[in-house]
Amino acid sequence: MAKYNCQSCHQLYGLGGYLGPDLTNIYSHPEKGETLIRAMLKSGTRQMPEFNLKEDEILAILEFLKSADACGKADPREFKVNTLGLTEKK
Amino acid sequence: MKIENGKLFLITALILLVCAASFGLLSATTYLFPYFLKEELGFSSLRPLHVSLAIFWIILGATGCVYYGIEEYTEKKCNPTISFLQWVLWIIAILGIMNNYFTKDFEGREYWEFRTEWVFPILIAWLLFMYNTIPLLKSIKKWPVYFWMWFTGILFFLFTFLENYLWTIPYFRENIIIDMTIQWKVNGSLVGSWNQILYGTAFFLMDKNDDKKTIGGSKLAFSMYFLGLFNLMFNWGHHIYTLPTENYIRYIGYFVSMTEWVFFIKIVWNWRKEIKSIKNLNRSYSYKFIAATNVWVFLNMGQAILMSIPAVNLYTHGTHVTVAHAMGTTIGINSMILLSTCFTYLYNSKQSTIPNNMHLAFWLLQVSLFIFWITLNWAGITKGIWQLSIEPIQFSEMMNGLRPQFQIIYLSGIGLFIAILLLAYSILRKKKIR
Ligand code: HEM
Repeated sequence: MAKYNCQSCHQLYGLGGYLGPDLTNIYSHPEKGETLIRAMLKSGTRQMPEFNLKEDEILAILEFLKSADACGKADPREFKVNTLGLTEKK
Repeated sequence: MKIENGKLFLITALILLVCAASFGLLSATTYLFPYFLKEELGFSSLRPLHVSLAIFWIILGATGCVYYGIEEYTEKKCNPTISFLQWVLWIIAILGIMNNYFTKDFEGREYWEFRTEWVFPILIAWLLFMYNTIPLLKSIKKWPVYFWMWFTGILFFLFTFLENYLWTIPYFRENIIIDMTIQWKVNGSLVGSWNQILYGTAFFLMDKNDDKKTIGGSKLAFSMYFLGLFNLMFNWGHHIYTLPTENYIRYIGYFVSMTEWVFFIKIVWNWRKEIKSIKNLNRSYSYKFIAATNVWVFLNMGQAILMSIPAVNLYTHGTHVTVAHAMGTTIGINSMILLSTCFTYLYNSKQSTIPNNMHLAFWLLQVSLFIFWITLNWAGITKGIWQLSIEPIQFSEMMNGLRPQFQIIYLSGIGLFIAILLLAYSILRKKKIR
């Protein structure tokens, strides 16, 4: 991920650039997941380049995103707010 | 070798500022025209080119400020050969880093996305800087507050810069949560360390303009220094509210951030007094930029404190509100203090002959930045509402909806760019020849 500087546009837990979406839980997303990640890496979007990655690079990225996903949820809707203005996991 | 230490760094920094602003404008262009430079460079190169150069403007500028300040206060000179060597190492590192970005040879973490070998010249340059300046600091027995701030900033930069590279050790790299916690902490503390140097410089410049020199030794300045230090060490907690960490970390982060209200209230208080006496003060540009800094401290700190309330942070984290915070502080606070120093030491003009285009540039900078900052916040909050909505539309649809905001950001970005260009050009053209 660092090699292609994905962080210039994408985020993990809100850290990173702002042009693209947060990728923390993309791997387990019911409508996205591995298929969409592969498609994006292959053809890019208007702003995202086509990276022409080798299969082992794609696998490494998938592995990384899988483990990022496994370590927690970055969706802000996972939190509830208490009366002091503090947030807690739901 | 006849080298003026402060001048060498400040002039180099100014050139870096112009480059940073140019890449900023190019990055903003890709927001509106996605295919612009997509094949040649792309946003993945433009963004780090912009951000790293902006950071180098601040660090090299801060270095220049310390050289000027210490040499003037102690009436002694730092070793010019060492400072020249320090400068050469920085230039080698910056050129190497730019080459990495242009050739898309990335490594590392956000804002420091270059190959790790460039850490070494930067590190050696910093050690040389310490070797060159600390003996002069030590030559004074009773330190004014800005000596403490410079010393703290220089020392903390070294620690935090090294901490920034903990990811090179597998233990830190292999656990994403630890790695990210360190990154957020480092981002907060690095900024905190150059803020110490620059706030110290602002105090120094105020003392310089004050015949009685009351600020440097005042109890109030020292209590603010300790509060600043406390925040530098602990206030990064508010960056990691959304990471899967223990709740108590959020509580501490929240509590520490709220101590900043003390700063905030004090700034508002001082500002009120200053407005009353503004007519009597000299209206030189170095003063004007410090006065502008006060307004920006007020705006940015208000925003930062609000963002530190966890309930608000849910809406602002990971949105353009963060960009507004980052750019608002680096331009509004850090760059204003640096420009003030440039006018104090580099600009060779009698106050009565300040040309009209300088007024224009000053106000263009302030107004453009204000529009830029407000609109970034607007875009960020819109995204924040989107990310908390029950059934959010697609990300790309949401981004398309932000097009009007991005257009305003772009136009005000052009204003910012022109203002920076005019200021840098005027300063460099009217360099003092001593
Ligand atoms: C000339 C006008 C400028 C324009 C048009 C501009 C534009 C931009 C753009 C498009 C981004 C990337 C936002 C993203 O990640 O999507 C950015 C980020 C940034 N800019 Fe600028 N910029 C300008 C000047 C400056 C200056 C003078 C500084 C500092 C001295 C600065 C500091 C930063 C920083 C620190 C970031 C990173 C923000 C973050 O990660 O949250 N910019 N800028």
